[in-house]
Amino acid sequence: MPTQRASYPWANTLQRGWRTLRVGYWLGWQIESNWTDPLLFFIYSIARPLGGVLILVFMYHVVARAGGTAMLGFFVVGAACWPFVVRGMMGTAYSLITDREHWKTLRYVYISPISLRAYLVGRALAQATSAVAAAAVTLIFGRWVLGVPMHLATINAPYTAAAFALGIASVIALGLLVVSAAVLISSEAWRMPEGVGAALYLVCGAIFPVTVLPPILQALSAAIPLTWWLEAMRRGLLGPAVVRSLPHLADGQVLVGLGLLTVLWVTAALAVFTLAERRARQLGILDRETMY
Amino acid sequence: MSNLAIATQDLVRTYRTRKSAGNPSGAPVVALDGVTLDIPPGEFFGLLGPNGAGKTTFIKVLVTLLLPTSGSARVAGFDVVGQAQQVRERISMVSGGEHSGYGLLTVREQLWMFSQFYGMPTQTALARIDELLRVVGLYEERNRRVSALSSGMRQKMNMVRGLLPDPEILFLDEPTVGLDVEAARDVRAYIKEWIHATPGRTILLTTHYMHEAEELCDRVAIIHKGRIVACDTPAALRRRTAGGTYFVLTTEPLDGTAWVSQVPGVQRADARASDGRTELRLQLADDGVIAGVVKALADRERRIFSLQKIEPSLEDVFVQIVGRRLEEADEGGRA
Repeated sequence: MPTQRASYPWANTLQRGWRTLRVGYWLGWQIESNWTDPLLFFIYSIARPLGGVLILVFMYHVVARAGGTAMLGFFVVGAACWPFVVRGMMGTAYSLITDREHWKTLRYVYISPISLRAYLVGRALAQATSAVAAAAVTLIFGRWVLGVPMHLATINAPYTAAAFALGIASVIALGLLVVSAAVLISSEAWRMPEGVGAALYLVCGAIFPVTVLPPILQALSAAIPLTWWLEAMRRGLLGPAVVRSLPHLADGQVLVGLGLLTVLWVTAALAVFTLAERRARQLGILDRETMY
Repeated sequence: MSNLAIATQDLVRTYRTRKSAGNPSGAPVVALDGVTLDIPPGEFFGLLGPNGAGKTTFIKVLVTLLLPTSGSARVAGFDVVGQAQQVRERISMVSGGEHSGYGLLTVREQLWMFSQFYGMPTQTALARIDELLRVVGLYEERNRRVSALSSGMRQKMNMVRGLLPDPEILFLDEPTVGLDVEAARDVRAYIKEWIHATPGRTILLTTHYMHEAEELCDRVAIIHKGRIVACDTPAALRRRTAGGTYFVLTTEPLDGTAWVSQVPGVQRADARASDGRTELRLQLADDGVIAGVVKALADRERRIFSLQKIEPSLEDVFVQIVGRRLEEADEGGRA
């Protein structure tokens, strides 16, 4: 009874993965952008990051004035990049949780001939796309209103682009790790992504250099690609005029370190997700609705 | 390779549980207890049982949502554990009694999205979506958001989702639960239409509505406490029932009924008097014997008011096998 399919299974797998990623992205964007009317969505997209950056500016003026414009630049780039972490990483986890608990579609998505990983990556990329506006607004505000020393002449575009791509990959890897836990836990699944996000905010140098952390947290921080990503983005956008989280490393070393950690985390995330998915099938909890 | 659409062998599925008032030992719950079943391609197969009997667990294993604890299951010839992707390319599922769907999407968008999961070209998918929406009477709602649909409409939309990829094997898990009578009838009518329009497709339907199983299925298995306790065509199952087919004949009052048993072919005759009439319940060797009974009554100048042939229902079969009516078994399962 089994019918013969393609001669090249890997080509089928790639095609299926790409198709699934596109549809996942489309769905993610529809959900992200259709919850309200376009005008309100636009205002929200601008107002939210502006609010975030203004809070940081207050913090800067009240607490960290001693750091000068180098510290201000640190703040602004961190604030511009962090929405990618929040939306991308948490978005991956929430995609699965909302499909399971709110939309109740996870079982139908799961039993269709797709790659669930590609689907979740697509959903995460849609969420990350929605962070682009926030990042742009923050950077523009930082450059033109706060006077952060960021000039076209000093921006290392290829370096920044490479760092950005690796950063997004590592954000999604973190998302897959969080989703691996979310698929196995039930009632606390909603809280977990936010908790992980808060912990990363603390240890990855989002708003202050990791050099101020205790040594054990510094070691932990160095093992997380987000620390390297934020560092590389600051170096790419601001050049030498910025406080550094990894002061003993050259720009190239930071990028290579980010690349290696990203590969490591992506590989680990894929393996962990595969195990978690299988475990959830064993336990019979893959589509179990719990609390929504 | 097997030529069966679905084949399971000694399929067992247990769930770990925590200690509770209902399960003080915390012993694993056995949802499927050695289910062996063969379903050939093209069959409309029904799985009948009360809540908690193992119907949904059985479907979840077959659609690759759940791993079996032991035993094997093959769908379209592929192993549900080791060849899940191949299984998924050939199946679809519709469950009843739920409100699944991305509420922010329109009906058409939601269905298009699922068509893309199955690799359908967009133009083909949209044409098929419109065609199926027309058939189930949902075409006018195609641009409405899913969140604005009634339960019945959502169920019809989900039926379209299930049929959209034209699966080799369709799993229907209580598809009419929670629907009003009219919507349930529409869904059943469409299922019948689909199976006639696409011969060779296999459907596995779980239900605890006896009439649904009788109306739709070529073969029915009765599942109780995770075990298949009977499996045959509805007619063959009915024939197995003690008592089988009988006739009920209402006539003018009779002085005695011993003579009825003397009519050749009458195996058993019970009489009951009510409202100035006599009701005879007759078990006959075959249907033709009734002519002899009617003639005997005519010879005694007794008028006949009504004559009914009563066939046992699947409900009777269920009661005989399980020892309780389905509704009672449901309550037992929930308790």
